[in-house]
Amino acid sequence: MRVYKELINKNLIVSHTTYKGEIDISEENYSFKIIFNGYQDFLIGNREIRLYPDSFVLLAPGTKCISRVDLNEQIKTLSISLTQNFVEDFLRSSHMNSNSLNTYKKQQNQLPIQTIYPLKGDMWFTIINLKNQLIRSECSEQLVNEYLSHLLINYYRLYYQEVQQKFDNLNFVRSTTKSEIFNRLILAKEYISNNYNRKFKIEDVAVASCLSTTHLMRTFKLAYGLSTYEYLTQVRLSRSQALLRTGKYSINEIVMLVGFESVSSFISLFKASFNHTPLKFKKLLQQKSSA
Amino acid sequence: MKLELEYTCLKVKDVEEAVIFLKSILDLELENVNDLQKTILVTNSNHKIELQECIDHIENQQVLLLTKDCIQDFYTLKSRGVYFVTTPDYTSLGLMAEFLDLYGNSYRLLEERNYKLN
Repeated sequence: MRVYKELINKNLIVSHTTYKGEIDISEENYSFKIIFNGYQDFLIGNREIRLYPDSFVLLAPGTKCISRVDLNEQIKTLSISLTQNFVEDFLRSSHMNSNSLNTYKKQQNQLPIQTIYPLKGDMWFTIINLKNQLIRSECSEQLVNEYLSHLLINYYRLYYQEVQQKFDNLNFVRSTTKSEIFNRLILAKEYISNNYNRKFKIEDVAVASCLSTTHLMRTFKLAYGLSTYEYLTQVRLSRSQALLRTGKYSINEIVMLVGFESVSSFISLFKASFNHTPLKFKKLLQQKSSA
Repeated sequence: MKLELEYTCLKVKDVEEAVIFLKSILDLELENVNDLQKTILVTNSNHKIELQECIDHIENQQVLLLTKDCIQDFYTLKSRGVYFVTTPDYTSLGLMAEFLDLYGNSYRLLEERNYKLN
């Protein structure tokens, strides 16, 4: 079902199905890109960000990029575009007094925002509730703007956890060096996320992020508290959760699709990470949807 | 042992006025009871609220209402003139907002969120 909702304040929400092909995008606003199946590529200059259903991408105003779908499958997408005025008003509003933004507010640094973020926790709930509201024809603009404000609350919380805190973990004296290394680590993360289901070497990640192997390993661990291999495992587990949620794949198929070498290691890693086996997780999802 | 909570008892200054608030604002159903001494309202989940008239000092009580979408219900109740003490904010249980009735009883509107599944 296609939804196109342009609000009086020029915020725009579009939910539709995308087919195989390429589209040029020129963003004037802050644009959240979400997909619900398959994957979609965003080519920004030399950089390639592959979006999966467990993540979202935020494109900044002024971004020119190519959006590409190269799967034969139809991709269900959601694009939420917020004007710069709306975001500025939000940053001055009482929403900034929310419990969850207290830590974010203390930060002053201007860091990159244009990258992939995990679509999890409150961000996920807000987007699903907003999507459900948009399907109803009588949904009021004021209510939609309330969801959009919560989208920003959730985004700034994620930004603080995923960008600001990781940046602060780097212990370089010169701020320009620190920023440069952090930008390269973002490229390393994106490379791992894009290629999670195929075999690659740490050297490939190092080339993609323009860092030496030892420098990459040391700074990645310092910033993210994980080795690149541990991060890869985390990405694979997150993708496996998204596949389990579709209900379309068996455990064996998921193991193969996300790049794990054996079913037993997948089950033990999944349980260690989420406290449930994949089967138990699948059952809990079924119980939740039938409730 | 598996216990179930059947009633929440709410003390109000005027039962008729409270029934109007709970029925028309919160969409609760008034239960038909033979015993005229009791005024009972029922939520969607069959939990019952018994109203007790108390003309003197009322010790304010807290009622927890579960919702599937806190932002939507916050918006709906606000448009019906309900006074919210707090706007929807994030807790470890989920998204929660708090409002008061005519007598100062506090209602917490909670959207429980299972963060382990999402």
